Amino acid sequence: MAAVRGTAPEPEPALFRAKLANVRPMVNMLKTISFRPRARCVINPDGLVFTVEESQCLVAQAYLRAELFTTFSYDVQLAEYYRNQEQAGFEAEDSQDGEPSDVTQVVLPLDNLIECLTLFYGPSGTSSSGAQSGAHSTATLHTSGNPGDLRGATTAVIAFNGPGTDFELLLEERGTISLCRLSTFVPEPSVDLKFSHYPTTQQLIIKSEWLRDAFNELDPTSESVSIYIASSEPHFRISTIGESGSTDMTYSNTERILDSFFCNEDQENQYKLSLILKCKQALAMSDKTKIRINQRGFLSFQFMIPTAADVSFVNFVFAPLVSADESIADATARV
Amino acid sequence: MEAEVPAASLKTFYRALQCLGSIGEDIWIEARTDHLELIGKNASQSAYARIVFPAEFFDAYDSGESDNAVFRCRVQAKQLVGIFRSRTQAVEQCVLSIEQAAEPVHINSSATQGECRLVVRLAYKQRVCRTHRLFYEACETFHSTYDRRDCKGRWRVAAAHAASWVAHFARGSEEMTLQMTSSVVRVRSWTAGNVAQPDATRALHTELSVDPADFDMYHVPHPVELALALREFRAVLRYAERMAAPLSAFFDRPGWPLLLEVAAPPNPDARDHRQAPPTAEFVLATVADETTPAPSSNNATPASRAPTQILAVPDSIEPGSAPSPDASPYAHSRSSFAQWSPDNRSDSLLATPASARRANTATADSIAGSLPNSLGGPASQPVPESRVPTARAYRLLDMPRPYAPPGLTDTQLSDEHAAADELRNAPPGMVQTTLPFPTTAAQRPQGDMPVANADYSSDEELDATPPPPSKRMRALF
Repeated sequence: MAAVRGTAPEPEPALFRAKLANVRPMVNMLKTISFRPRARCVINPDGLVFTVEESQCLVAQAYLRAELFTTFSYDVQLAEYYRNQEQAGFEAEDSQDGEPSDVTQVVLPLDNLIECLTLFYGPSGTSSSGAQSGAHSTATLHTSGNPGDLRGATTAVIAFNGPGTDFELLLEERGTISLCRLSTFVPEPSVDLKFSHYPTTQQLIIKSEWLRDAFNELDPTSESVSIYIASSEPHFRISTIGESGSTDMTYSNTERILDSFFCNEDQENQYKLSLILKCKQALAMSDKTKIRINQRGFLSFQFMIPTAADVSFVNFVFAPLVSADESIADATARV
Repeated sequence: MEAEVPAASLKTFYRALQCLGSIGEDIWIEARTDHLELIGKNASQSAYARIVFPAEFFDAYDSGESDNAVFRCRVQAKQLVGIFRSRTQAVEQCVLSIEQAAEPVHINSSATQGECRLVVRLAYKQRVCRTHRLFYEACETFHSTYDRRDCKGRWRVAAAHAASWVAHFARGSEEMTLQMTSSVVRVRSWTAGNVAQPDATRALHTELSVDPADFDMYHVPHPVELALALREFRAVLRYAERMAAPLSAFFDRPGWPLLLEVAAPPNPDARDHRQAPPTAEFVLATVADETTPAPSSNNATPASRAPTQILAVPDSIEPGSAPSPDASPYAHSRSSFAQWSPDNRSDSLLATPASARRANTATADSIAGSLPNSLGGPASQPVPESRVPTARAYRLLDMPRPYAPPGLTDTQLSDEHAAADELRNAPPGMVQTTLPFPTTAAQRPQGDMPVANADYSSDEELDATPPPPSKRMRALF
């Protein structure tokens, strides 16, 4: 751990460096996918993508575009240089096939990352600026809350210097500076559910508010949730079958609820309820959700989350449940 | 059966379901041609609730059966309540219906055929629709046989006022007593605590007095004291408060159940549920007294200890036990001392009648035909309930000293007035006790170690010579 210095360290040439005026949007985005301990972070010239995957059936990605950061510098040549070095040193593994060599991939401990970013948050988890939590936080120098939007904003400088080095976070709030270093891990072969490899047969955009209600109604004792989209009434139906009976929510293709609707083929697919419920946090923060189902039955939720006067996206892809009497071969033959 | 609840009355319907859900685990539904009944009872069968929705309450109501047949079923309360709990403001239409298999389901048949579901369909604005299909079980329902016309005492009070009685009861309170006389009503909370723990005596109890003038109608011909479980009473009060309807009570004597009714008068001018509001009746069992006969006279038992059967099912024969004379040597001198038993100390704030505790444990499950197990309960010895509740003195009772052997700390004397005087004149912290036998102070030789006896009333005791130093030193090692 580097010592905490009184002044910020001098900028050094680094592979990747970004400055963030307020960590809150980033923290919010990361929290939506924080159900796994580790996340893969892909750095490319356009921004950062954090990916988590669960039991090879769920892949969640949070996109943080470069515009979200105050400064964003990514040295593409240095990345290529490091990549070539890496591949020269070891046997080139095919696991990175198709990946462009100008992106940097690193696996970070996600919950540690969030914990560091929220270092200056009060014990209640909110920013430590509020008058009620200002007294508790030992990191703040002032006890009175600052008015306005900039109250207690933690600024951060994120830096990463290539595979094998630590991921550095330099956080500052009201004069207190903290430098955090997170160990990084070599990325494993990624699980890609290959959603876009098959044509999308159904797509709709729905206001997240209705979806939130639907998720609250889903019977938690049920194993699976079934999503049925059809071109005739009812257009969109979510149903569960649980211990006490069945519940379903149906939506019609009206303008107020479904912003857009496209259905090539009537399909009903089942998904594991416990996995679907993992996107509750993202749903809670989002305004709109785009639901897409491809020909293989894979489901994609794309949540549009307002961040700092702009929007960011979090993407969840789910693999469908294959029913017991239908073998996997049949399911793939459905393609 | 098909019933359409008007959107404006959804909250009322939800409150009724919530009340039944807080009383018991299941809700019984009985659909008759002119009204819909929701019935609930609690696990120990000591509370019964029935809420009747007249046909005019609904936008559309069809019981679906002929006049002779009545549709009866039972559903899980939690599921039904949960359906209506979430936001109901945007609901445009709510329809409850029964989906049955092709063949009619006979209650007497052993197996139900096909998919039978209670379907609750909520239609929201913009053609969003939520449908719940709940399993139900066709079964018999039950009704209370108690009639309020048999009750001699009655009163009616505004719900908010009644709710304020129990609002401040401590959270651990499990029982309450209502002592009603012609001049005052006293409401008191009790904890049926574990007496073995000395900490239990530190529980907070609350007692408050209500003026009968606050009641809309108050008619209590003779003083009566009823002890009942607080939980169900609270559920009733909550319902009455939410419905903003007056609460009427009908009662007779301890042991007879307390009948409560919550019914707002119909308001024909209103356009919502107030036009035909639901009527709710509740029957709460009260703790019986030894001296009062059981209300169901076909039982030949002289004493009914457990809360009386309130349901119209055949009563079990409870082996009665006449109050047996207490075996304590002091019985003849002080009758109240006879109640010194681990679970029934009269000088303890926990001294609810032991039958109250038995009330909580007695299942009285006569439907299964099993004998009540109340006799094997905490009352290991038959405790005479000679203490008529009306004679129970409401005063701050002395806390029993932990190391005093039983029999010496009882403060109820044959000469109650003398004791009362002593109590009043005693300085705080000093407990006054007069023993029936000569005090040991005069008899004890000097220089004795002060034994842990209860009689500290005389100052000589305090000036008694301390134990010799040698004895004291020995105690340190």
